Amino acid sequence: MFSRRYIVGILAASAASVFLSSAPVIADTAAYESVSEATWQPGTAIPAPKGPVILRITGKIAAASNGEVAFDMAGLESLGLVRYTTPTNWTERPTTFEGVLLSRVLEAIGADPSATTLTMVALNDYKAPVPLEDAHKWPVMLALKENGKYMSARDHGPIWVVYPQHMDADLGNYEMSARWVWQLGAIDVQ
Amino acid sequence: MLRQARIIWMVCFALLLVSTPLVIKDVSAIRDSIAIASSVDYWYESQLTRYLLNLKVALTDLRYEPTSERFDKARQLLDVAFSGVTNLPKEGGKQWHKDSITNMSQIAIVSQELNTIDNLLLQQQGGLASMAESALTHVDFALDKLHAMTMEIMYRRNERVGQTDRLMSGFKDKLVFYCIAVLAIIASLAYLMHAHIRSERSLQTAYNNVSELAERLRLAKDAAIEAGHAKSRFLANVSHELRTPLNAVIGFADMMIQGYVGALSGKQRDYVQDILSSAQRLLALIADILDLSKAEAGKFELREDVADFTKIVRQASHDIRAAAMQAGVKLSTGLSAEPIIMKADPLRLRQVVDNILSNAIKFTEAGGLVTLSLARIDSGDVRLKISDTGIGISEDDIPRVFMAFQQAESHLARRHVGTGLGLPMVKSLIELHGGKVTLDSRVGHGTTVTIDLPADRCLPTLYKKIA
Repeated sequence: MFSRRYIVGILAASAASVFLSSAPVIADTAAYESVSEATWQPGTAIPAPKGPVILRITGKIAAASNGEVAFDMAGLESLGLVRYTTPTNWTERPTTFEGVLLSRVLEAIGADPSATTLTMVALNDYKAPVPLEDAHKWPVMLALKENGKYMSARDHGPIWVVYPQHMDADLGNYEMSARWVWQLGAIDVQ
Repeated sequence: MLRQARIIWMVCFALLLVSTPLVIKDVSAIRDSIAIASSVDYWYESQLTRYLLNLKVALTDLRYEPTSERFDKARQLLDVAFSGVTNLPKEGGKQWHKDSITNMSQIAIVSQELNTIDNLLLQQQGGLASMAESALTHVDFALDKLHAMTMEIMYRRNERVGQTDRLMSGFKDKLVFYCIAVLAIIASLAYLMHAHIRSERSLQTAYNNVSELAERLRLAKDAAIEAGHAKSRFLANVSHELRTPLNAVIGFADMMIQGYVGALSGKQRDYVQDILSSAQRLLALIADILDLSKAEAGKFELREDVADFTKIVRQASHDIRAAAMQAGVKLSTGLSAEPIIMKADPLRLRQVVDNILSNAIKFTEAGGLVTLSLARIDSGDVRLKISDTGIGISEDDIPRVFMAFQQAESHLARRHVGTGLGLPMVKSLIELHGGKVTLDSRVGHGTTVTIDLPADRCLPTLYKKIA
């Protein structure tokens, strides 16, 4: 009698733990919040950079003039800013990031439907191939601000590719963490 | 075998229990070693070296051709070099481990040198070329430090890998031991379970056998009791039927002796006297048999009354004194001063005393002594004790004297006339009164019969406790 109760207890506990571990980490909060509305409308030209160029996009894109689209800070911000707070592998505490959604950037530059890979190129010559579908699977962000401050080229700036790890802890594993490119300077769409 | 299995499993279990913390410690040490040995330290270190080399190239270019484009390029590469230090793994991050290069002294020096170069680039003292010149010495210094760090990381890593190898091989042995211990536990538990099932089965079989046996014994006992009752009933009936014709024999024999049927010659008179005494003995024997069978059949009923046990004993000893004197046996009585009044059947008590006294005298040679005492003992019970200095009974025969008809088979039978029903009857009567008869005897020394009657049969008003 005792042992039967004991076994039932173990089964219940393990079932509960399986259920809890498979449950989504954050289910009720929105993936991100909007910070500013886009001033750029789809179908119109991207504002030409007036300040220093921080991001150049090349490859299979429709909006290319001279084979590339260049953004300054204002140009990127005109696509509309979003914000979320996520844990990262490089910070002890969850960090609040503010930036442009990668999917929004791809829409603005008119990425070719046949394109599959984005090669993220950093100022420090680091390169990482990122599947284009990541931008549609998750709200991947080209972050400009870390905890409310613009990032410097002497740390992760000016742009850090950020994945919403608060939605899915797997976005922090070794394979995925290679895609969190910091000091982003250029994207090649292929 | 069962015991060995139990010991084996307990020992293995204890070993596993004791060694588990050690193994857990090993596992965590191995995990740490692997994390450190496979860390990203090399990657960050090589990237940092690369940034510094790039910076060196840009500064060298700037020294030969001090243009603002080359200056901007150098500034940009300085930023990258800064980021190489800033973005090293931080405590709490996933790439952090306790021996991380972030904490190494060389990193602090590189950081210092980068700040110096940053200041030089800001101030631009003595023109771009000479500024680049002095910045280059700092870059070289930082590169030297990084090289020293590379060597240190390599030494540390080799040490770690060696340590991990040692841990792994030790751990492998422990795992083998673990597997053996687990297998031993499983095997011994399986054996214990098997033995348990087997013993349960045999226990069940034994239980079935015992129940069957008990049932058979019960039937046998019932049959035996039934047979005993049948015998008793038979004896009672037969005795009763025997008494009737015997009355005629005794009556007419008596009449012949009294001379109602004419005078008898001397010889005739002797023979008739023999017939009469034999018939009377036969009648007594039949009466005894009848009583005993009634007692055994549980049909005997006591006629309980207020009986003065002291008086009964005194009278019995008085009445038998003549027979004792004739046999040359001295009779000594010791009776309590205070009369013992009991609720009992007086006639049956008298029968008991007569029986034992006559036995005592009968089995004692001339010149012997029969002692009789009656008193209340400490527990309050009434004790009648009759001892003789007679022939005694051997120890083996003592249980038999209480069985009906047993005397007839003994070697005393020929010398001592008796039915062999006396003591069994005494026993039955005393037990009907709730008492107990015991017999102690030594061959050639004499016999003591002790009768204890329960205290609650004494009438309480007359009972004075001996403190």
